[in-house]
Amino acid sequence: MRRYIVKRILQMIPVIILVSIFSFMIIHFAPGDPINMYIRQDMTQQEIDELRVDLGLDGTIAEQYLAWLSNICRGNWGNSLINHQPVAKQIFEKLPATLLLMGTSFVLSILMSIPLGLVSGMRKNKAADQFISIFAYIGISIPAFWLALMLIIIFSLNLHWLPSNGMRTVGSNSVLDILWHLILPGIVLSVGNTAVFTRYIRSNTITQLEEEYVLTAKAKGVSKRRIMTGHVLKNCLLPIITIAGMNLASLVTGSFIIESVFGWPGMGTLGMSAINSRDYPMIMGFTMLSCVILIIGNFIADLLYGVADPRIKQEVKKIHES
Amino acid sequence: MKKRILAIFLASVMAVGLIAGCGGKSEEKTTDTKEETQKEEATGEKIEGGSIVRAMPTDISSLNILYETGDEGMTMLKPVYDPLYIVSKDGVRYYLAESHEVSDDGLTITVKLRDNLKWHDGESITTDDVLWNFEFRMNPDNKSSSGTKVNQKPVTVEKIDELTFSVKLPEVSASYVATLGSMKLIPKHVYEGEENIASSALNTTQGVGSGPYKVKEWKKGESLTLEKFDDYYRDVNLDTVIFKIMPNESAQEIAFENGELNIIRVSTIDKYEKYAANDNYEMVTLDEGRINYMGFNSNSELMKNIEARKAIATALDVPAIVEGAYGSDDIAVPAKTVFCDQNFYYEDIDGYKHDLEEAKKLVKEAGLEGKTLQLVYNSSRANMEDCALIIQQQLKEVGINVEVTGYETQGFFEKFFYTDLGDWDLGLNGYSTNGDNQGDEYMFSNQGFLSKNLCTTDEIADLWNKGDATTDPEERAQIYAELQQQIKDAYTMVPISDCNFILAVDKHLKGCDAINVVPVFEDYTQLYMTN
Repeated sequence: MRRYIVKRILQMIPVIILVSIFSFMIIHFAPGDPINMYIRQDMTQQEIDELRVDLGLDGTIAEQYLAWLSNICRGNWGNSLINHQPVAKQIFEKLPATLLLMGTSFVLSILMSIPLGLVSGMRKNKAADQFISIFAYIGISIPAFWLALMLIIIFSLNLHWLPSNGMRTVGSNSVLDILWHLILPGIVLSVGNTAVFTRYIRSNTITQLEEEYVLTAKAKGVSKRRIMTGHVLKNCLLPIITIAGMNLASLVTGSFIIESVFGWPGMGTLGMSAINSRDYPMIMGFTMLSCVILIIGNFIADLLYGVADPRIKQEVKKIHES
Repeated sequence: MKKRILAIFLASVMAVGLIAGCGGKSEEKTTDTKEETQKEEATGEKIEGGSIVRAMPTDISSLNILYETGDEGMTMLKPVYDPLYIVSKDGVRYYLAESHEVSDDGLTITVKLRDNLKWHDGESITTDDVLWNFEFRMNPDNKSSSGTKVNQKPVTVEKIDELTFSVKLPEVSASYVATLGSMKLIPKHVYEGEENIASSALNTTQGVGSGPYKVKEWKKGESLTLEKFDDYYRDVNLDTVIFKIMPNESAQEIAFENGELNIIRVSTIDKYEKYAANDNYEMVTLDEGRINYMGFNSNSELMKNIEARKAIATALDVPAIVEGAYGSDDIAVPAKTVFCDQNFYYEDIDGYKHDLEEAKKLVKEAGLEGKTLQLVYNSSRANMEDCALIIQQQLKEVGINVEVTGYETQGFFEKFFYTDLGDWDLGLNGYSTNGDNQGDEYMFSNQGFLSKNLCTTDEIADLWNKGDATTDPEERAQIYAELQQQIKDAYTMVPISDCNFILAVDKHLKGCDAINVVPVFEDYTQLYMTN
């Protein structure tokens, strides 16, 4: 197992380097140049050239990339081209807000999808299954920004129950106030995930219920509830581990659209403004953070797979032994 | 059973839809009730204190106004930093300065500051601060050199006494008076000694300014709360000014209708009509001093030919474009020339005359018939896409095909201003042109830094130079009038629209139109609440 872990970690390095090269190239090929934000009508070409050198925007893309890589290897994420403040500091300032929002929506999704998926699978083609399936289809197909606006119109504009935007009331620092502001964006973000997870769990439940071990358990007189909680549930949740791993990156990168609609001060809004102003170091910091988290998420998911399903661990062991 | 459950489900979906759909009605009811109560209580009298909340699409990145060059910084930090004075076509409005005088030869400007001016931390504002600000700006490391040069030659600043200083110009520059006046100072005692002010942590932790409001709290990405500065040299009405960061326009609208915001910008006719019909709001219309235009690319082979440009200008029916894209004179009126009446000097000349038959003839003569032109526009700007599509339609009528492409702001500017590949023929852009006419030189002179793609002439460049080299108002008026005509004759661009800046405002908030200048508000002390 240790060899497997070391091997996977080593495999991550080229992936991260390749992603960084592609990201760096893509953002530099996008039309627009951050130096334009600094150019004033009274500047000479010499001043503009000096400014380019100051901002590290001189040289070829390859040279700029190597300079960035050398800095990042030394733990220096660089400074924003717009406000000259350290990129890492700004990213980590925004991270808690995004983690709170995305984490809440993720937990909500899991909590709602497990019972819904199990019931749907157990009651295959019955009324409850159809009801849940319709909900799931709507949840998958409904655009999040539209749902967000509808909920704001209903609960904020018409009923005045919930705030329409922001993370807190201006001047307030209470946790309850933050939770109050979290309700609408949390629900909106969880709807899509809940729907997807529900469908996965439903499909797995149906498959598992047809397995022979369920038949054996039934034959032994094990109660339906025990079969579900003791055997089926564990197996049904396996694919959720993979999805959770994939979703780990979104926990830190946030949702550009929903953060924008709700004015949530997280990574999504930071990323959006960095892209609009072609703030290369900030975009790279943001992209690489999500890349690393995504890779680590998948890695952890693979490890958890082994923990959850000993057969996989055995397979891995066999491969390494052979 | 299945059908019944499905029916129940569909009914519940419809019920939710109805709740949402009927939202407007229930809101009207609530509004009516509110209105009745307000009618009983409201007397429209000015009240002390109060606060206003405005929404901004993006946050500032620094509390130091010298490093905030975007609209957000100009708007959010305006109440925090006062200029020395503002020169407008209606006269001079003094802020930190109490007077300014230009010498007869136009080479020396003497400015006297008000007595007892204070920074927000209580320290006095003196000419030492002014001198240090010039010194700071002249240091290239600080990346903030605006206002320190005339035609690339540095100005010199001299202290006369604690409150008086003079600026000597290397050569006459009529527009420099306004540039100097709009200068905003940062406190010497706070920043002096900082090794690198551009990246100083003070820029994000302190916002020690000189304006009527001081920074109370800055929650990055969320809000900027400003509170009344008690030691300000004039009376201030509102206690608090809050800027909330709300990137989404629809969310801003909902928040405004929900009473969470006091002001919202209106840029389309449907929103204008919606808010104008509601008694809870007042519409404030200011002259934006913004001209939207269609530029011809001098690096496009086809557009190098002045006859081709003339054919296109003759084919365009500008009033129809404005009517179609903006929908009402309340939002914008057809523009006729490169300047507008918010400029110091403005001659009401006629725009290009639309003549379809003549245009068809000119198109043939210029060899444009059947040709396909590339039109680029900024897709992030309101109404630009509509203008582009109407232009496409109008040029089709004279036998020119137009391919329309929208770019987001950075991409558009890169194409329109900073590269000269000649890969587009027509481009829709806009610029603010209030104040001194010389402010537009950088766009419409071949010596300007944004004129890589400009169809212009050396005569036009000479006129720009002449306009700045004299301080005689009559002479300047004549020069700029000639400039208007020459830019028209050279078919440099087709002026499309002269826009209004419209705000829907909470009816209790007054003073929004006290100064007709955009970006709003130049002077926050003019704002007050009524009951």
